[in-house]
Amino acid sequence: MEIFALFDCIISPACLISQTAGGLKIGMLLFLVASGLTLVFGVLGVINFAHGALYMLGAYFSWQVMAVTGHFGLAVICGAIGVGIFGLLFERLLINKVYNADLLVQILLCYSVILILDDLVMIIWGDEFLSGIGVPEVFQIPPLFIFDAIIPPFHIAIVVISMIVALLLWLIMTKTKFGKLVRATAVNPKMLEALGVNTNVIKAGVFMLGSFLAGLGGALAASLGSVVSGMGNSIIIESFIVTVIGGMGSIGGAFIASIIIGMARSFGAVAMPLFTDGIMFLIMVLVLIMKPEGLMGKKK
Amino acid sequence: MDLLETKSINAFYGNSQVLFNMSLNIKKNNIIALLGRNGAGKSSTFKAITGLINVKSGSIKLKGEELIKQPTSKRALAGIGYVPEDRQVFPEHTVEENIELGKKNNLQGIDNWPIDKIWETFPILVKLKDRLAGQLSGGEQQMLSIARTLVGNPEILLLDEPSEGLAPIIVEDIAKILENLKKLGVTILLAEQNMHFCMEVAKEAIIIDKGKAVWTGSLNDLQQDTKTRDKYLAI
Ligand SMILES: Nc1ncnc2c1ncn2[C@@H]1O[C@H](COP(=O)(O)OP(=O)(O)OP(=O)(O)O)[C@@H](O)[C@H]1O
Ligand SMILES: [Mg+2]
Repeated sequence: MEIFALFDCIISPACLISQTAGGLKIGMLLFLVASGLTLVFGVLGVINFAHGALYMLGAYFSWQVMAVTGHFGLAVICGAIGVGIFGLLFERLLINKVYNADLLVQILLCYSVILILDDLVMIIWGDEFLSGIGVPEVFQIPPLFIFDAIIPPFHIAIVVISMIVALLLWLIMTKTKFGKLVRATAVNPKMLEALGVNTNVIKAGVFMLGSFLAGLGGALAASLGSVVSGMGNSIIIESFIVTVIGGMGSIGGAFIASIIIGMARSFGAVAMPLFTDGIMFLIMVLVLIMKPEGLMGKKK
Repeated sequence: MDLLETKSINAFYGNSQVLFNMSLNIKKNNIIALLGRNGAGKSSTFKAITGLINVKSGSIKLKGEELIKQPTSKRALAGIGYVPEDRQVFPEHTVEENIELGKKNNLQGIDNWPIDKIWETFPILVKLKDRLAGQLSGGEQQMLSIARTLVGNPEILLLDEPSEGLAPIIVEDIAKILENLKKLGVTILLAEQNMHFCMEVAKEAIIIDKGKAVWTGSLNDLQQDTKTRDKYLAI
């Protein structure tokens, strides 16, 4: 373990700033995906293990739109919306059948959807790595130097976009009628039904929103790296860890946990380069021991 | 035609039957007491009418329209207003948001309960508007629960033991509100274990026992009829 490397990094402004920026980028991208997962769990009570596959679909959809139109913004938006619509169909045709089913049945359904989607994208787009959709032209400029730390402007853009999405999500959940209905559905769907609200519509809307967020995360990830079948498998584990650390169902908790995990990965790469995944699990275990309901979760 | 007519409802929790050929007829512009002991089936009757429990056979008609096959939300839209015995306010929504969640017009698209009328009818709630419902007292939650259902412009209010667990002064306040609602022409089916509270606001009563309607008549008659009272009601 290179604890001295970590110390050296923290006292060096260049390293500190670049690792912090890197951690923010990782964390905020993770938040996009994890917030969708935790939202769906909080309202529908199901852990959508196929959430990572939706993230992968977002990457492929945006890659396809990029290939056809060459327009970055359009590619990202279409990727996210496309996955939102896909999620809506997924919810209406499959997931809503297992809301009250055994956890095992839910996992089985999600797992089969993952396998099918992983194969389906290979049939459609081939089994090779596709080079991602790249960075839009406006950001193809020299990096910023802040205290000698090298920061690509596009990474800042990704953090800003994700922050805006987080803010919008917060506004939707707290200020809009839809958000109020969603929170009420999470707490007491039967009472809401008795007040004349069709909670199936709310649930479908939530699943669509959660899928949209996964798709957006995948589309943005496609600009930073390559696109490949199975790319959702590691993000689903990270998102799940974020959900557990933040508190199952808490979007605010997911925000904090995502940044913690982002920082842990970024600084972990300096301190314990061979153990960065392990650090995540370690943090999760520590949180589970000290606060089993998660940082912002509700006590049972 | 009565406003609400239920015929021979048989309702179940899982495999165990709670309502046996339950039939009720409720006229418009009226407050009717639904009396019965602990466990007689008052709450279950309400849950059967709202569709919250499984009704295997029978008929539930509101203004002549059959609701038995409709899901809970459709029944609410048709005009069934339900105020559960444990109030079930949304604890992490504010008072105003709780009311907003119940807001809907009646089937004719008319709103008889604009928000100002709610504040007038429930003055206690005005200064609590921005308070989280989970932080209200039991009586305040009861008022909120009634208000939340009223803004949905129901044809009938199924009010389940509104006085339960409340201090006598608060029970008085609730009785006054019910009087007021009666004057405004709201139809209420009021479930209670004993008749004292009902005497103030209702004239007629239905008694249920072991999941069946066993007696119908005026509350005045019931007061004289100690035999029936002893047989079916808590003292
Ligand atoms: N969720 C449930 N599952 C199984 N049985 C139930 C359930 N709820 C109520 N029961 C049973 O159904 C019967 C009628 O109960 P119900 O709650 O309708 O009575 P009630 O008249 O409302 O009583 P109270 O005055 O105590 O509220 C009781 O025997 C009760 O034990
Ligand atoms: Mg009851």
